[in-house]
Amino acid sequence: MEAKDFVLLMLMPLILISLVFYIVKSPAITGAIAIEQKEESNILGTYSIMPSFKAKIDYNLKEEYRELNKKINQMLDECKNAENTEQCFKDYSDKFSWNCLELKDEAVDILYDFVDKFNECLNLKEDGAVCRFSLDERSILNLPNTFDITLTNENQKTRVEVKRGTQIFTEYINMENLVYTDYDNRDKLNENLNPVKFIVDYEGKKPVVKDAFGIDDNSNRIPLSKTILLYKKNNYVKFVEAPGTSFEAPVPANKIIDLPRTKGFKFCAKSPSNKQFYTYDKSDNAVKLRDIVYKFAITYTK
Amino acid sequence: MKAKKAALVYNWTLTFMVIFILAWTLIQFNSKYNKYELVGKKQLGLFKIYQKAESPLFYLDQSAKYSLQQSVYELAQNGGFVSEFDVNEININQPFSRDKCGKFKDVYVWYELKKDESDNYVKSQCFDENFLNINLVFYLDNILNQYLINSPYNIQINNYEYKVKDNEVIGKAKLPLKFDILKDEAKQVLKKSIEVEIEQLKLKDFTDETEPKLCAKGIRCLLTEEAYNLLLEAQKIADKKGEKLVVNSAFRSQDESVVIWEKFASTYPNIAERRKKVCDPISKKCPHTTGNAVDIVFEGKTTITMKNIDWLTLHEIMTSVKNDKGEPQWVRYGVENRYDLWEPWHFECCGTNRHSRAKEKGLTAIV
Repeated sequence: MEAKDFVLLMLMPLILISLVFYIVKSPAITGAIAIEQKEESNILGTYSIMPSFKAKIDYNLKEEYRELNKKINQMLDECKNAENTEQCFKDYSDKFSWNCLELKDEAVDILYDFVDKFNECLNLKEDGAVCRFSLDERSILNLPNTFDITLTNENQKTRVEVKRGTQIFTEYINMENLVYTDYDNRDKLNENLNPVKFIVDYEGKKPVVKDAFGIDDNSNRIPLSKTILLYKKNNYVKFVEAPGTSFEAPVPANKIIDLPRTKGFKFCAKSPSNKQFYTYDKSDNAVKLRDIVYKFAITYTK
Repeated sequence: MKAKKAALVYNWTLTFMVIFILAWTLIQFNSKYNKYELVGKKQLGLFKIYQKAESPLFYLDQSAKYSLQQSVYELAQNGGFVSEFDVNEININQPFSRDKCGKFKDVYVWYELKKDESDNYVKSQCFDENFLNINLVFYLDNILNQYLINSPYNIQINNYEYKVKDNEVIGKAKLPLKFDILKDEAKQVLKKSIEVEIEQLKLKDFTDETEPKLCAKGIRCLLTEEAYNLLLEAQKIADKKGEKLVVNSAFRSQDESVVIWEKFASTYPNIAERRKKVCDPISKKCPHTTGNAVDIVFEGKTTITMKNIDWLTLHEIMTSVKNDKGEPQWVRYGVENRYDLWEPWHFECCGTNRHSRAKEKGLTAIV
């Protein structure tokens, strides 16, 4: 071995030991300090994108409704001249298969019976008139045969609930406040009531109002007329304080309007192009392939 | 040297030492100098974000498809109309066409037959196909919002301008989806409210705030600092009652208010009636444009599902936030002791017109 090789060989351990010292003693490099400080924010930047979309469907909205409208007009032209309008609608409903096959609780029918008559009074052209109505006669197949009709104020509208046992069905009426009046002050008095209740029993087919009352602002119970009477004034209806007999006095004392003056017929028409989609319906709480069914009504004066 | 045993030992020792020291050096280097980013790490992060953004976009496309099918179904079930009573705090920005003849039973009337003077029936149409598109969009927006609220992503609701063609609907987004490009995805980013300036107002944007999460999902929430701090105080009181406040609406710009007002012109052509439903930004300063008004419900509830007892509790919580003089700092839009009128979810503070009037009269609720 030559001398220079020997020196190199001897230097190698020295180089290695120096490397160890350098690694152990040297601080982290200066540039890393800046990076450490920046690390407080873990965000490099922001990526943004417009989430626009295009959704297609195999269905022509206007075509469908146009097709349906044609058939309705054909039916109306025929039925408006028919002797029995209701029967005419029924015949067409059978012919076009537009019948509504819905299993509904009797309480639902009572709810809409009440709401329709109430709305009819609310929308009357006549002013300063007394609306008088009772619920329709109907066979009550299930017990109990007592129905609580409750009206309450809710966010500038009136909530109507019909309760039978534990079941409750709801609809809304576009009226802000529930008020009542007596006969002498009928055009001035607007005392608040919340809620208003009617307890209706069915004796056979006949509905009988067992109790009618409202609660005023001072929590007093105000008895209301058991014949359902509403006083219509200035686009508002007022409940009538019991006994309410003065309101039932005929013309010239009162302009009494017995409701309903309008009848109606409900249709459930399947899509003319037999369209079906996977959709959710709360009636069965499921998503499945369903027909597109157009629900509408036609009303006619008696 | 070849012949000497000591030389052999030296060589082997040296070899092992070199291997050991180099390995040790590598470990030391890694522990000391690993702060350097790997080349291409940012680019890789960006690619990951592109991929991440695809998920909400795909979710949105699918949601829009299902929402459209559902809205066609619901529109048909409601005879092409929208019930005014279905309008809530979420879909308030979407106009609709109202029915003309009301309902018979649970369905809308399409035609009326009325008798004329000679006792003949005259047909009057209550249904107009021109409003089908606007009502379809109302349902679509409402259903899509529900999908977005329930999505695992933070996609803004009420964010679309819609265009309906024969058999397709285009939803043009107004605001973008934003994704943070993170240096280290393992590290969570805690987001706090940030300061922004809009219309000469210094506002706190707490839309993406992680803790406390006061803003409803998919909503943009901005308030003045004072209002924001009062809201935090209200949340502390709510915590004691086991409730969580959710802000559904906060600051609204003047331009946004004008757009909403004009959108509803077709729904409520009568200005007096429209003023009852939507604030008129042309005739007065709308409370939401001050950044000192909030619409609040409890977590898990909507204005439809909140009961009178909930509104009462909410009122108690909000009006329990008091100043040094013991005056309530939040005022409700409504009437004292009534929760069925006006807007029991709407509260104002910090010197708005309503707040000042209520303070002057010593009330906690005022119209």
